[in-house]
Amino acid sequence: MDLRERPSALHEGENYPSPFSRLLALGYYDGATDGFLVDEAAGQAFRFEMLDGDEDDRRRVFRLAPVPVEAVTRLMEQLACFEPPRQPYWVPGWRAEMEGPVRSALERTGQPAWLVAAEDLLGVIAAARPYNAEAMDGESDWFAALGLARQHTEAG
Amino acid sequence: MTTAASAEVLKRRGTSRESAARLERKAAQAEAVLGIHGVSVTAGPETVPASQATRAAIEAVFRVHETPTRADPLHRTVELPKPVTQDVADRFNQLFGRR
Repeated sequence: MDLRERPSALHEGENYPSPFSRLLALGYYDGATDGFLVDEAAGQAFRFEMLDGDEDDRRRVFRLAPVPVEAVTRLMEQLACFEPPRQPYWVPGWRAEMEGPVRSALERTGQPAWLVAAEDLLGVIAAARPYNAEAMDGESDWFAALGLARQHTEAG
Repeated sequence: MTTAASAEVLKRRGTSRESAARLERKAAQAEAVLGIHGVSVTAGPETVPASQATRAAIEAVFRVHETPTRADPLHRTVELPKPVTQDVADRFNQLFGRR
């Protein structure tokens, strides 16, 4: 798959190049677990939170909620005062002074809008569906909610 | 390294043996974004089934880096040699008591 052919925006579908061009991780465990995503071409940004992962950790399910893109851009500028930013994927080394700017950006987060599966949110979107709070709040099988089967452990 | 750091108990999510291929894949991803060829552990409480080892025991074999995040200020990264060979994976699994 040619990742240079990025779609203009997140949309419902499977196995397409991520539209996101920047990722700021607030949590990391063998990959990003929560943070912010920016689609610079579409002028959109989202807060993402990991909900589940398969055994191989080749696919993780995330819930995305919109955030004003300027809030995330501003946050990245503020965090750049603490350490040089990395692009396109930045996991800032956490320090307490970062909490205020992060909190300000988090407070501008809207309601969940998308459910997305990917190993790398800047790579390939394995599946994306609009988040239906009425149907999905309390969901216990996020892979099934995306119409995906779980993958199994790699042989040791 | 301080005594307090040596006394840390580091937890790695999961209890099953991890393959060299999986460890290499995760280490390569971390190298691209953290600048460390390694995998995640935490010195904090773990909410999912995990295996554990003392930091001192791990540091006898691998380097451990403090890589705090907002979500886990006690996040650590265990640096693994490149590439992760079967021998490296065996030593890693043995440290965490994974058979």
